[in-house]
Amino acid sequence: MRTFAFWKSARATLPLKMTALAVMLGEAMFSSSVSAVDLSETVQLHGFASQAYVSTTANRYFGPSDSGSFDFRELGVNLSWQALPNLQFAAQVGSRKAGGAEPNARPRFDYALVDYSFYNGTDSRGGVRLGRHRNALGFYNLTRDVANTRPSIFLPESIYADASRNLLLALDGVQLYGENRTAIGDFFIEFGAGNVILDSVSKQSSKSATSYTGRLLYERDGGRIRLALTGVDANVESFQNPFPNIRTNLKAYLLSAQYNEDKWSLTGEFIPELRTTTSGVVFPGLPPFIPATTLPDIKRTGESYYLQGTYRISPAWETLLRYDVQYSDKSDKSGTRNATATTPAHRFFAKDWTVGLGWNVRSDTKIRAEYHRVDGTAWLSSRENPILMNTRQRWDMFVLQASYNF
Amino acid sequence: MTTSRIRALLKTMLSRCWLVLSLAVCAPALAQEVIVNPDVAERSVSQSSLRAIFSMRMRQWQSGKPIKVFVLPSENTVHVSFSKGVLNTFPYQLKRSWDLMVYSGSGQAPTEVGSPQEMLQKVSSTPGAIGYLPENYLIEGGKNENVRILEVR
Repeated sequence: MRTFAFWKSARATLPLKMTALAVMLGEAMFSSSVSAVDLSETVQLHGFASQAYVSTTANRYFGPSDSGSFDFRELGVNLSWQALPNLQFAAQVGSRKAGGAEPNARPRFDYALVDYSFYNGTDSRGGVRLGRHRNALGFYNLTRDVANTRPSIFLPESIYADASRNLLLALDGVQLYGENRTAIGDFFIEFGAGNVILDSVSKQSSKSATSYTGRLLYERDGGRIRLALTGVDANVESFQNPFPNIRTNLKAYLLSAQYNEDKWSLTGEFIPELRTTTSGVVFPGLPPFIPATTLPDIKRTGESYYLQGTYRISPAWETLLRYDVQYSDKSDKSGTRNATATTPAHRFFAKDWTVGLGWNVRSDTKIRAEYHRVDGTAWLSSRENPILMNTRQRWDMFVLQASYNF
Repeated sequence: MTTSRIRALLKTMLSRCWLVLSLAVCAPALAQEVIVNPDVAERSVSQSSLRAIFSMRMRQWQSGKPIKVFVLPSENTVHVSFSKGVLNTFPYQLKRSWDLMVYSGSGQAPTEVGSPQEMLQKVSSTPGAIGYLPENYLIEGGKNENVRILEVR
């Protein structure tokens, strides 16, 4: 029988943290019920906040979760100015604490852009975004920082991997977009090119190379049926003197489908092939005085998918059921061929059953509970679990989260 | 005066039709009306354009004038039936679209009003404004406060 640290440590740490949470929620609930702040006719201010409690039976996820953790927190504010109907300036500053994987929660620009739509017809629109823009990947990447826009506390890791989150979040560059409304439905296209955003730690040893993302989205009947095809080609170069540059390339296609009814939604997303190529790799463990030795390119092809059902019992209550699967090497699903003396076989896959319950306290405030039963450790952060041999293959997770947005 | 008489007549006809014919025939009758500020040149709009307007994706009238969108709160019954009946979508889909605009920097949220009364006041006083009201609200309210009804094609 697995017991949750939540219950063990509850008496010790909960009262203080829960008080803080209650204060935060209280402020949210008794503040004005206006859903946004209109600073003027054309300027709007919005924001969001969330706080989670994560408890796992083994392994660390978003903090020292094996003994119960409050180290997952998201905050952000944004400002937009619609200078003309077809010209908008917008920027968002966010701070994210995600356990040991992202411990400093330093504020950074999520996006900072100028959006100009150069074509505005009765049934179509086309334009360009310049600056730091969010990548349109699948259904959830564009607003993945805002808890209330996610279907669950944690997005399915197989597709929205936290390990490659920064790599895929946004680009500094250009994004072209277009939309066309036809008799059979609406078509949307987004294509972005630019540099990957690296955090201050990664910047010391890496630089980003030009990367590309593109998405074609089809919506029928105001989104009753939604289908999308996404392509990604992301590049990063790392340089750790005296070693030569190591170039990592990530290439993936993502297929997304969703069916929406009044009471329920069914969503599935699938990455048939995710190719990671690392070239110019230095043989690990060599002391620095030995001349760098490079190995041939390392290539690995993974496969990921999830299937998710949401049922809205009433406007206030909703439930979720999801099965999420990742194979890091689709030619070795059990991981036995990839396993080494320091990396267990279960590092190469993860199968996650999730059930969730959400309560909309108000239209802008949500409380969620989520239970995960996981087989595999593929998406655990190696920063948080440095000794992989000590991780456990089968583990459970319980999460609580309060979130607010305006 | 004459329009209200025609409307009253239509209403009677509709209610008789309700009695005589099956539910399926009469159900598509609109239960809400789309209203615009009189400075809007458009007389009618297609359902897909209307949905794009209320999703905050279509931001200007044909004249190039900015569109100002007013909505009732998401849980309001008038908003719910307007979303489903007139726009043929769900309130949660509209909210998803607004969240996308607001949190990815690609657009803005509509302005929320508290009641049909406030809706009427805001749409009549804001250039380029669009909103919606329960059917017959304008007739029963007695006077048409300087707004025009936009036909949905």
